[in-house]
Amino acid sequence: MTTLVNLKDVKKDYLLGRTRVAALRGITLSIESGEFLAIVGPSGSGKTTLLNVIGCMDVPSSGELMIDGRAVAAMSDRQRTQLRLNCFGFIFQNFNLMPALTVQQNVELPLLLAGSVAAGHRRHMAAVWLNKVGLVDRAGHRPSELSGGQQQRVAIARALIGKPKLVLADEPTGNLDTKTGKQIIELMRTIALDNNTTFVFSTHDPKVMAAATRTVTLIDGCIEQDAA
Amino acid sequence: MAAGIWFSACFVGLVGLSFHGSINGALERNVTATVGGHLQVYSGTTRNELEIFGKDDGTMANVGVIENANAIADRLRKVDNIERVVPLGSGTAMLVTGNLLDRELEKLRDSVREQDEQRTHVAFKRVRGVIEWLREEDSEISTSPALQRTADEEFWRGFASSPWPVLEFLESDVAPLLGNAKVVVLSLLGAEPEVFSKSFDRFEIVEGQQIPPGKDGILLNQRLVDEGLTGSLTELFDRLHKERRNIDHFNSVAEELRNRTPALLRELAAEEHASLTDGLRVEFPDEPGLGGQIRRLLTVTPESVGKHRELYRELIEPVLGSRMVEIGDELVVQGIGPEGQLRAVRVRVFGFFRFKGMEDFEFASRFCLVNMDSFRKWYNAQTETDRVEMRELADEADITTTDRESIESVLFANVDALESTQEDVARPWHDLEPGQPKGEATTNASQLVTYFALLLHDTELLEETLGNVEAVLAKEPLPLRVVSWRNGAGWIGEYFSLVRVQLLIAAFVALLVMAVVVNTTLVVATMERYREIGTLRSLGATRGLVLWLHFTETAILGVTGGGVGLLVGAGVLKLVGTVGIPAGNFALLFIFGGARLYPTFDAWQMFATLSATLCFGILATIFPANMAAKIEPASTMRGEGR
Repeated sequence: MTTLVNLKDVKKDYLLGRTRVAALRGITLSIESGEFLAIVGPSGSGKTTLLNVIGCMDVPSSGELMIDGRAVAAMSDRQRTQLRLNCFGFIFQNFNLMPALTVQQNVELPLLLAGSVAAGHRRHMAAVWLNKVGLVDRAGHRPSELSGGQQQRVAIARALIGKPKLVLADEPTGNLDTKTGKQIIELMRTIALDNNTTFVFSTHDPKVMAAATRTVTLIDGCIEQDAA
Repeated sequence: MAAGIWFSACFVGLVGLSFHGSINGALERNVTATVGGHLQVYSGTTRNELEIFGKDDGTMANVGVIENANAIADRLRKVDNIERVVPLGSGTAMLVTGNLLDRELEKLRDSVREQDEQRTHVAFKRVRGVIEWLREEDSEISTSPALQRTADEEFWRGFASSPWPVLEFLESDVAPLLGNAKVVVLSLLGAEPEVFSKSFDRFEIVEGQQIPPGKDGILLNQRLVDEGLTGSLTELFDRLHKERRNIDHFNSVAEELRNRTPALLRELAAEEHASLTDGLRVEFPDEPGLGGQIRRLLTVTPESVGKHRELYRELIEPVLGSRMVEIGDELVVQGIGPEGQLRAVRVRVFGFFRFKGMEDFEFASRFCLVNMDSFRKWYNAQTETDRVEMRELADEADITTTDRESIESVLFANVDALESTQEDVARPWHDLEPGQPKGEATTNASQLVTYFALLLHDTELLEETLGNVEAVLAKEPLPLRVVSWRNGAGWIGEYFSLVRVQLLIAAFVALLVMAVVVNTTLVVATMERYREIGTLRSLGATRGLVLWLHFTETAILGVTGGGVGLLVGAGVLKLVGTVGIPAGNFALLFIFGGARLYPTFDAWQMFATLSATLCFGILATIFPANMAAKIEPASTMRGEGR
């Protein structure tokens, strides 16, 4: 196992009007490849902020962040964007599918953004991943024609089509019913094992927590507990 | 919605450009196809500017003269793109028409000359009737000795045996008592008639013929004749018909018409009474006699004036005639030079003309055309023919010419020397222009013109050709200046420039509004697509890609929406260009260059419209595109930023 993500005393502050809010107060954390890690904690504990920082969608106010051995603090916005494209996959609580595109086109999106993949290969890979998530027969449908669970499956396929090293999921079951949520977590777990993909997801659902191999608990922007 | 904005912008843009181009073309033709040409060359030493349609007070600007016109015209013809050089003279002139008695006497003289007994009889009766009316009028002239002589029946009996002395007495002693009937101010144009009609295609002879080569003649403007040189009763009826809604003015003119009853009765010969009475009885059955009928005819109200006018035209005008001037008449065209010297030339009326499409414009209807020799004579310039005539006259009368220095010795050769003192008197030359005859004939008057109108092969090269002509004039050097038709048209050119500026401002404002709407629409669209843009950014889309997406969206919408707008606009213009847009008022009549505007368009205008709207659209996209590119991917987690 290699260390994919390394955070050392990472802090993140936000300005809310005139008030400075410390969302992360010195996080030191290492994430190894192959982990199925859950970040838990109450609302406002800093879970989403931590995921944003790890996912290079936000820059730490201080501290050190290394992604796959590379220091992120010195990177430009363009470099961080490239890093997201090449190393990360994202799954959002609200699915965040493009409503004007079909299921197939949504799944192909990361390969389209990469620019170097031929159209035929993109379509093939999209079909492969849609098959893995069990939605190949819905390839031509629009997201509005799918259920919540189906949309999240499409999001999972989209997150994984680019073979990312790390998939970040922010409350992936937050908008799903219990049964569907369980199915989604099961799917994620299966994919993680089959593809040796590292998953880091936030949740405050105990049942979802139970599926994780490691749990990091955040309280008020600090790691309260880090249990395997 | 965005596509709809482009559709509208391109539709309106193309229609606007088409109108601008068509109006520009119409106004240009008003000037260049009538009396101006595309460029004008005139004296470079004059203080005044050329205004080919006259100043706003109706008079022609005094821009001096150009002598040696032939040599200068030859030089100008050699300039590239010059199709034709038309020498022209222009000035403010007057037509003084004869009074009622003058006209009747002229008809009588013509009938006597032609030995037409019947016409002579009718004309004689008419003349006697007018003179009797004059004697019976209670006015100053009724007691004049000349008029009193006509009361003697013996005087009239002399006409049968010897009409000419009677005619001469009436023309020289009696007719002048009535004074001049009308003085009409006009803009006199001098040109070689055939060259003029070939050069200016708006010029059209509507009655009569062109002035024959070698003849001194005039072509009168049709509207000037119809409105300014009509018989007084015809004119009064026309005025009343036009002014029937202005009650105060109507009533005063109506009274003037009513007071003409005795004069009209006198004018009508007895032989004409019977047919007129029959005709008028239909309208005025309760009036047994012609006198009452004429009185009723000339008594009008705003409601009845139209009907009475038609009746007058139908019954009376064929008898008396409606015009004061007819083809074949000889006229004296007069004028006043800048030193107060009288200008005059006698010309024959060969026909009436109009400038097509400009019949309703008063400034265009003032023009009358004479042959160039007549113009030069009017200008007090001596032609070669005149010089030969003067030499022959001088020889016959044994007149010798001498110079100023020798005059004393010639006159007083046999007289003791006289002392004299001479005081120099400063004479204000006022408006005298260099090259202007100082009350004497010029030495090279056979080639005298006021300006040249230059017509071009390719009007797109107007500015370049103007520069070339300037270069030629500077190189010679020649004391002349050249202007384009916009400057030479005077106040009309200024009015046109104002219209152009207004159209351009309107177009700019329309594009600005379009840009604001596009900007607002895209800002709203960006806000609505916040999460999608953030998701794209989180998935790996760069800021540059987001910008590119926005501008590409604008371009595609612009080309498709705008393209459809252009096609629809072209279709509408095609249809309107066939039917024409009527000019509802005088201002539009002028701007349209006629009763209807037939807009046209071309590929360049379509390209320019699309390009301009795309440019403004792209500019309007900058702000919302930047706004979208700045969306942070982190804000889309959990739907934040919505």
